[in-house]
Amino acid sequence: MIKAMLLHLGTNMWEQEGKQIATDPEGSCFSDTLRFDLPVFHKVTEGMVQNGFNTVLIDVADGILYDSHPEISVKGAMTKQALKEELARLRKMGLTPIPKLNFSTTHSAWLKKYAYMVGTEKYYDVCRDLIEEVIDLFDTPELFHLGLEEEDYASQKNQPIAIVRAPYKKCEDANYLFDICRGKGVRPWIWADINTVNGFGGEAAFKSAVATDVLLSNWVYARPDRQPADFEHYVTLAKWGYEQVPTSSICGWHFNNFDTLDFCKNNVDEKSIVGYMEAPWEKTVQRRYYSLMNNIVNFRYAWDDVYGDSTF
Amino acid sequence: MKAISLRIGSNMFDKPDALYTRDIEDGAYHDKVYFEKDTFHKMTEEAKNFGFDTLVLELAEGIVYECHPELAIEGSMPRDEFKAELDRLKKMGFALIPLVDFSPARNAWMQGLGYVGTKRYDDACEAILREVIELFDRPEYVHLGYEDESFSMQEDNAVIYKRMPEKRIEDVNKLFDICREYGVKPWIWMSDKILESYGGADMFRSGIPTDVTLTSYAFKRVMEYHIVENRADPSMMLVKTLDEWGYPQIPMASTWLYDAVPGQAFSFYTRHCKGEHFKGFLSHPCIFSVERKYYWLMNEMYKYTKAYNEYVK
Repeated sequence: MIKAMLLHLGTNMWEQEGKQIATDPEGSCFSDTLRFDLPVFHKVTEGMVQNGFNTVLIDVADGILYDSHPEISVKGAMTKQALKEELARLRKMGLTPIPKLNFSTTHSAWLKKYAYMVGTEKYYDVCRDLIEEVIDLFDTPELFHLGLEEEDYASQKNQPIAIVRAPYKKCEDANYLFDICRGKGVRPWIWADINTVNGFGGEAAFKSAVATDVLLSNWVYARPDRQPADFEHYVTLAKWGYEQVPTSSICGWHFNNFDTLDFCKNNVDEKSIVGYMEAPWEKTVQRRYYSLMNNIVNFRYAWDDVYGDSTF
Repeated sequence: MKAISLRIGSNMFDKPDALYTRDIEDGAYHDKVYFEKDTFHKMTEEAKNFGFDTLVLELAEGIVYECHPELAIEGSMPRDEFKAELDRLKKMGFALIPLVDFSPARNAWMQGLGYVGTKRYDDACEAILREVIELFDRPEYVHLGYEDESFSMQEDNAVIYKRMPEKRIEDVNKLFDICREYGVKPWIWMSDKILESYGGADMFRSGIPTDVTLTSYAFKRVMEYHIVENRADPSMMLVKTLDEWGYPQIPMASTWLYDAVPGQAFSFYTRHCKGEHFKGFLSHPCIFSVERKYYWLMNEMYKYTKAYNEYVK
């Protein structure tokens, strides 16, 4: 069973470069310099291993110096060689590293100018170049997370420019990305909350466009009694025949780990659940170290509470 | 004052007959004190390392009260043992402030004595308060809690208590008088909602004297543009108003809801409030003193200290 945590290498997945309408200096504002501390990454991944995690999902974004498109890399981006060494270290520790590149138009500020070229031949070429390069860097991982969530106006209301694909276009483009992964023998993985499914055009369009070889992650960072329909979506995805990695986070609600595990264990067809993930949504920097460790420990205790398996 | 609140007791939320009982972590009533002494020791050592000079210790049922031993449950610390803890903390250099919350929304620990409006409740509050003041050797402050006396904050419980403002003011002043007898400053929670429960600004100002120290909630994010557009969290904005009204305050910050709050709170306090009556600042992590919350506390202390050093120092 996958027991994963999402960690960030690149961090430009929210606000676009340029004049900001609403910035949170501790949060999501754009930076042209890498915001990643390797010693913190080491401590956190060690903490993950000590607490039984087996997978680390690395949101790469513009955090590495790409060969194919160095123009998108931030200052101080990690070299591919350095990341390769890190990946080897992680594997030796017992963690499977999985890459993530988010191609949602809401979360692709890291693509720099290419984020504004959605739908063009150049855009598609860049997507292919980057995905293939990262697959090679990660030695053909089992999975590749493509993001694709929250592609709507509401999620981009503070951006200078909002870009939203029509559902049919989103379906087409998603399959383009899926096929790039499949072509390299890698299973695609995407976010699949209700809002994201609606972005594909709703149930019928989603089921038609997204084959069941695509691994899905629904996420509901709230209480089950406050957002029951979103929790029920885990059940729905299972009924639709998908495999999923439910994702929790204590960024919005302290007991979300427990609630997610508890709900899924008691309500979702176990054949559908291939693992769970904790998403702290914190940068991998010193000032977030305790918060990251808190996510790890909180998730582990929630697992113990729900599954009663202290070996997690 | 650079204070942090830590919990000794744990039955401060749901009553035993709560309708929607979740787990201990979410405030469900339990028959054993949810407290780990070893973890508490680690937490207090870290608090020292982070430069905190004051501990606000929320007692609840965490200690055995000699005046009401029937309130003790499994794990309640006997007096001698607790006194030894207080001595240890004083030796570490901490000023110690007790917090005994007599709010009907937070007094599940009072069990059968918590029936607000009865003489039994009044007598129990008085006896416990006096005992705590003496146990802490007449501390500079006693925090009386007194928050969240509303329907929404007690909705999990089978019976909800909400006093009319006049009664609430009358009752809380009895506790203030006891504190003053001992030369101890009374301290209570505030928020925009709590202000309403006192009958609003005018009733509050006429009913709550300005020797009472206040701490208004600061759990929610407040960005600079929220403040400029006058739509910031009203509880945090209340700090400015209370300062203008002349009340001594110990403003707080907490990562309980959002990590970014300490930075935003301190930015607000230092840039938008005169702070003429600020007596210090409080970190309020709202977590139990157990191992599973250790990193939560570390994150709170780290974020708080960073913000404190950036804005206050």
